[in-house]
Amino acid sequence: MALLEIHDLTKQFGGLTAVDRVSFSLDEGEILGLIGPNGAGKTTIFNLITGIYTPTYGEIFFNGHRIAHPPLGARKFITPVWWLQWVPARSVRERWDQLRTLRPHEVTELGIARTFQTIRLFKNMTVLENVMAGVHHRTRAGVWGAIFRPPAQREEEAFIVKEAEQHIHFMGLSDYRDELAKNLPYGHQRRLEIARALAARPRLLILDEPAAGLNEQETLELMDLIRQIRDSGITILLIEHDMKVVMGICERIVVLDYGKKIAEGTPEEVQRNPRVIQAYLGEEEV
Amino acid sequence: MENLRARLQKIPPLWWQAGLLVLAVLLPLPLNDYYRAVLWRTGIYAILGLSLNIIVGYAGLFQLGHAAFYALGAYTSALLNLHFHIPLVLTWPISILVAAFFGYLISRPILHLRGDYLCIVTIAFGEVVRLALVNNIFGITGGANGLSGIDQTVLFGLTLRTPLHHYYLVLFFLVLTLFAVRRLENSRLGRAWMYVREDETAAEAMGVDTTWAKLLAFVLGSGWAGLAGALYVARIPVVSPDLARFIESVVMFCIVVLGGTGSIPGVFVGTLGMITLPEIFRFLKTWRDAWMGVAMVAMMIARPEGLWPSRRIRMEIREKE
Repeated sequence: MALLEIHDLTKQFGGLTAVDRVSFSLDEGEILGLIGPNGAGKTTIFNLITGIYTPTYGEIFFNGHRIAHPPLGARKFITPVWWLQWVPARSVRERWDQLRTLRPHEVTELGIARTFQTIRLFKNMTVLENVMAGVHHRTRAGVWGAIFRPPAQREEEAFIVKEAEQHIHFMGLSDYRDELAKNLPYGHQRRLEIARALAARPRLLILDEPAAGLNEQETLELMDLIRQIRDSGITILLIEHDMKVVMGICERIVVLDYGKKIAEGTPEEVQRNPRVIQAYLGEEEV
Repeated sequence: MENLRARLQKIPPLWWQAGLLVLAVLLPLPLNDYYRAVLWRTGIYAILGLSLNIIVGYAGLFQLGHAAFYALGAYTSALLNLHFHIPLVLTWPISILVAAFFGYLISRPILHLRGDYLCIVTIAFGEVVRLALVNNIFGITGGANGLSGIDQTVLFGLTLRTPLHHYYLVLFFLVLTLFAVRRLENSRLGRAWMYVREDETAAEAMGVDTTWAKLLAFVLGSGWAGLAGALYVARIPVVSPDLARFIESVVMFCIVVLGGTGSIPGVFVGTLGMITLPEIFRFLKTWRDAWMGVAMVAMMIARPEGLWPSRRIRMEIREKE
């Protein structure tokens, strides 16, 4: 069974259809590239998968869970479970969970982590604190733990630091552990974003233009890292403009143009596809 | 201020913490009752400032209706004492719960609002509470005159009569508050607040339940303001809707911002500036408030991050410039 399945995904902003009936699926352990000209709807799809937007039409399944579907909107008032959601019964809870739309943090809990196209680090926090954010959803301490610091809470704090350090080390940022995120060179900031996403221990890692702004050397290192991440058992979905990266590491590619899927296949197939060439080089004047 | 802080950091924390505590205990002894009452007021507002600091400083939510929760705590304590003759001491936990509950009720539907929008709703809520109290809601709040005839506080058989007693009571709770907020700041929850403040979208994408984090900040902050209200009633046996005036909320907000948003020492600097100094300069009469305004404008130009800012917030503010 596919890890991620997208069915007829559509997103409209007012009159603009940013994503138009896109379907594709992603198998466990795969590296899939999502490419297309600017404004083709790639980042919108990422935002739909991670729950930042809700689709106008269509569904997304992840690991058997329906993680995205059109919101109920005003229809919730005629939905019996909406009225009953305060009932603390398990059957009601489960029924309601199927109907409501998931919030971004719940999608992350299910095992999807992402990076952003424009780097969104917690700039005034240290590298360690940034990566600790990824461990947040796997830990539980609340007010009580914070104030009274019982042994369980102290163990948990130690666990958070250990986990974070492990991912900092993996991304080669150990020397910067206590440096503020904003003081890091650009390439390292990109790495830190990936470290933070990995600390969430995802099954699917979504990378939004990870090579943007990197130099040749850094790009090569990044490609190597992405392969390593995949080999550790994490499925990868990435948007990238750098064709060297896309053709070099992706096993399969989905091409979007004006919100529609125009091609899907191996790098070689996609490169030969006339519609793809047309989308990238422009319409031929007759 | 920089030098002072650098020097303070060299001393082992336990020493200067103990030193400050001893100072706080000894300070009122040589003073007369008037200044002891000023110290008491300073303590109350420091607790209010620290509680508001959780909401404004840590979670970065604009709350300009904090006085409403202060008033709710005070009225809860007063009403329970007047109608059910519950000793004041036992009403304190209930005051906290009632204020926290209202904090939950008001914040739950509006947490998705950001910045200025949230600010407007909290101002409105503050006014709703004040007007409800003025209009003698359910016939129990006594209208514009408020409630009077509240018992004196009896603590372990000791009746608290003098300003000195009340100062020590407030000091006890202030130390308790300090202990709690410092630990909250350096915890998983404290970090979650920081993530939300720095970048809400990124925090959410990393698996932080932002609603949970913001709600907890609001509920904890409101509940603790309720305690400050109850401590007010413990000394002043009269409560009136004036407690919930908008200007009170503004003063609390200024306490947090003046000293440095998100900074615990900043709250104390802010309290000194907003509460203690105006009392000391009472002889300046009406000119006092004018100078206060001039001083604040000057400060916001010269030091927008506050007088004793937290390291991190200073960076955030300098960045936006």
